[in-house]
Amino acid sequence: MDIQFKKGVLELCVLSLLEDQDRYGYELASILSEKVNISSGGIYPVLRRLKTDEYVDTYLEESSGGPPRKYFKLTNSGNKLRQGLKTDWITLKENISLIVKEEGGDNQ
Amino acid sequence: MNKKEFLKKLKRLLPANDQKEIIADYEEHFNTGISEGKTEEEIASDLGTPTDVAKEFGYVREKAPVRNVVFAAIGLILFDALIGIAIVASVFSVWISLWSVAFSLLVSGVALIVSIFFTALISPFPWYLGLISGIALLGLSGLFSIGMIYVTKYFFKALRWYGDLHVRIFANK
Repeated sequence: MDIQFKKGVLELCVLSLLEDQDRYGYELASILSEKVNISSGGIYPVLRRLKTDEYVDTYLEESSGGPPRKYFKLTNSGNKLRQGLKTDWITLKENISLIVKEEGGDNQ
Repeated sequence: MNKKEFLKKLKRLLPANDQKEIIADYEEHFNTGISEGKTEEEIASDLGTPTDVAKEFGYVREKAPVRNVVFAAIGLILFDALIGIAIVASVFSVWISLWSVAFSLLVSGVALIVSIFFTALISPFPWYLGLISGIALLGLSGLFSIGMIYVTKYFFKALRWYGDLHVRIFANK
């Protein structure tokens, strides 16, 4: 997959997962590596970029019987970015579907 | 690869100012995985290689082209032949001599103490003078040896670094 494209998609995935609840890195990595074919190590660079650009914020919270975990939280600008990327994604998906004729879709 | 190895390798690929935070994130990742019953090896293989991870952060130098590697290798061989071997040999001789000093001190101390029993050898002096000097020599030898243990440690560290340098350059890492 093209690196830029992959980065964009991963960002959208992370931002969407953070929409309803704050999550910690391992959680995000497990969900994404299960659904999307990426190595879980690739999630932290994305999180770090989002943090640097202030689309997400982090805070530490105690975990049950362990060291505190770093939670990621969507910021206002992060939520705006999420909405923008989501719109882009839906448009892209529809346009691609028109080009790539899905099975059974081309013989009317 | 276990947790320690993974973090160590990753750390080496990151610039100093970013190491702490990134390593902390991956350490947390390992700890969470372990608390969920995964082995360190499983978690490491899910993470991908440290090189891939560092690449995602934008921190891995691309491999040098083969031509550069050949030049670097030739340069290193020339350096070894002209200077490297001479430096290693001289440092090695100094190291051997210093250990010999420690050993000689030990031998003379023991000899002096033993000689007490053959009073004729130190007859102009009272026996306890021999004993005191003998113990002093043994103590000196001990101190010297302790110092030399540190020197030896650094010596082998330097030697290993020099050896690793060859591996790094020849293997183009």
